Amino acid sequence: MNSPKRNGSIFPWGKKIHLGFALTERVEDANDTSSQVGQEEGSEGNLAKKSSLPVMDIFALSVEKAENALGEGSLWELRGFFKEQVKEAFEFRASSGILSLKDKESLSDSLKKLTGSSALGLRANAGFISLPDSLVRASIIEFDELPKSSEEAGDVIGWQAAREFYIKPEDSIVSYQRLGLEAETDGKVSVFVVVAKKDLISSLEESFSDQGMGVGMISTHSLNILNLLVGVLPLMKELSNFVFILRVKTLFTIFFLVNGKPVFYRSKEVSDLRDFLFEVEQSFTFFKGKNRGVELERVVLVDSTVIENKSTSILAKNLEEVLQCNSEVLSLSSLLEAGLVKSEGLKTGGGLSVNENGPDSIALLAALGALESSL
Amino acid sequence: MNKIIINLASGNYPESRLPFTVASVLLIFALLFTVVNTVSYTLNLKKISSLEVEFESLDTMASEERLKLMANAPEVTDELIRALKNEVEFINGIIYEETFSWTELLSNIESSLPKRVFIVQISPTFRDSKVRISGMAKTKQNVLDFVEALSNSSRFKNVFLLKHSENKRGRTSGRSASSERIIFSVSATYVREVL
Repeated sequence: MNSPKRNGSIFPWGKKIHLGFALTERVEDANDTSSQVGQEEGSEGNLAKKSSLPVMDIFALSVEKAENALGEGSLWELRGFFKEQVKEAFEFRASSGILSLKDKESLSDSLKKLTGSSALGLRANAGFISLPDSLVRASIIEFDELPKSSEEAGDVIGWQAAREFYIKPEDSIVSYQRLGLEAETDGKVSVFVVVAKKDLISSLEESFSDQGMGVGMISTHSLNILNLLVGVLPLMKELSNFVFILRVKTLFTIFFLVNGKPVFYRSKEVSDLRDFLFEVEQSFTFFKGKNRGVELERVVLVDSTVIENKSTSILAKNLEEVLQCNSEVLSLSSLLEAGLVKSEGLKTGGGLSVNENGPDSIALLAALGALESSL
Repeated sequence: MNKIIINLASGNYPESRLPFTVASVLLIFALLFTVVNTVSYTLNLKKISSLEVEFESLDTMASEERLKLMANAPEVTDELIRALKNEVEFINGIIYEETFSWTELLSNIESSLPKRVFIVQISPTFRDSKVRISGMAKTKQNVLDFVEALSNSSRFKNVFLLKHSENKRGRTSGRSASSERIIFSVSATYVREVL
């Protein structure tokens, strides 16, 4: 591949440095993970069952948007990738089932270490944040009709989301996107809704604001990585009916897309590969029940647990059997090999050793995806 | 497929770099202006320096020329000064005569002339602005009235009656009355009107 040609002007103020941030949660005591699986979404939620306080890793990366010399598309060129650990700053609240922030100072300190030093290079005026899917609730909700006024429609969607997720509207931040026209969905309006705790979002924004930065976008890992793949992977642009799965350790998120629009979304904890495949099959059965006659073209999996080529092929084969379509297992390394993400900083960034197939690589992809989503 | 854009962030962030760009452009202008001024100042300094050298050279030349002129100048004696003074006075006298207004003098004398006084001769001396007026009058009183009238005029000063004499005429045939004439001469300083 030819060396990339930078976007922007020759002047330093024309050079745009993008800062992407990704949060990943983990439980320090690995033995506790066994108690986190097998819980369905809704009511109390699976996160509420966690007994240990989670550790949050905050990843920050600085990238430049570049385009290849032939002008055949753009790629993200990674300049630096850094990590800070926040311990005991978050807690699970049984009432909402969603992770909440209890110690804003710890979060601010970690952000200060990340953004205050010269580690990230030039300071940016905004950060783009990706949250793990476990920190939010998301669903596709169908409405018979919605008010034409976007403000009124927002109120209706927020109210319905609060009902669906058993949360108080005043304690929540709701964001949504309408999916397709009414004519395509039998007169119904399909809306993809994401809800997060207001105090978490506020704390994140305040923490960034304390560091002199705004928050450009907050979205989820699954959406950001999906958007990243759509942005950089030619294959994704051609697909119409397909499945996208993000698997980060014990949490998997699955999208079924028909005509390029999501029709089914699910995020769930699983214990092992068998459990994972079982839940995928369950999801597929539910999807087929509502979308008869739709043939899936491919399943695209981004998986942090796949380390060796052998396990990749086994997983791909299993998925093809379950979903009855071809599979594509992607990771940071495959994107790097394809030249869709360029990274010289990956090996040197902040002295952080990123396992190209590990959880950190998912955080990196999510942070890249947050930037891709913001374009 | 299209991207699915979900944004849970609550507000806008200052994406615009306009203020920074404007400040940068202004800074560049300020720097350019400083550079231009510095270059201009340096060039002017050089020009001033060359002009100072030129002025010094001209001063030296002027001093030398002045010394030469002084060396060649004739000696100024008292006699030469007196001669020049006389020449100036002579020229001034000619100018005075040329610019003297007889009409004005006659008009001023006429305005001071009483009845029964007749002017026979007026003799001005231009060098000291003296006027000598000779004439005839019926009586002495008439002469004195004339002298007084001249004295009261702002155009005449130092009015003096120099001399007067009676001239009696004898009886003529067939006529009994005898007549008396006073012949007089008056001196005064005439004050010319300054234009």
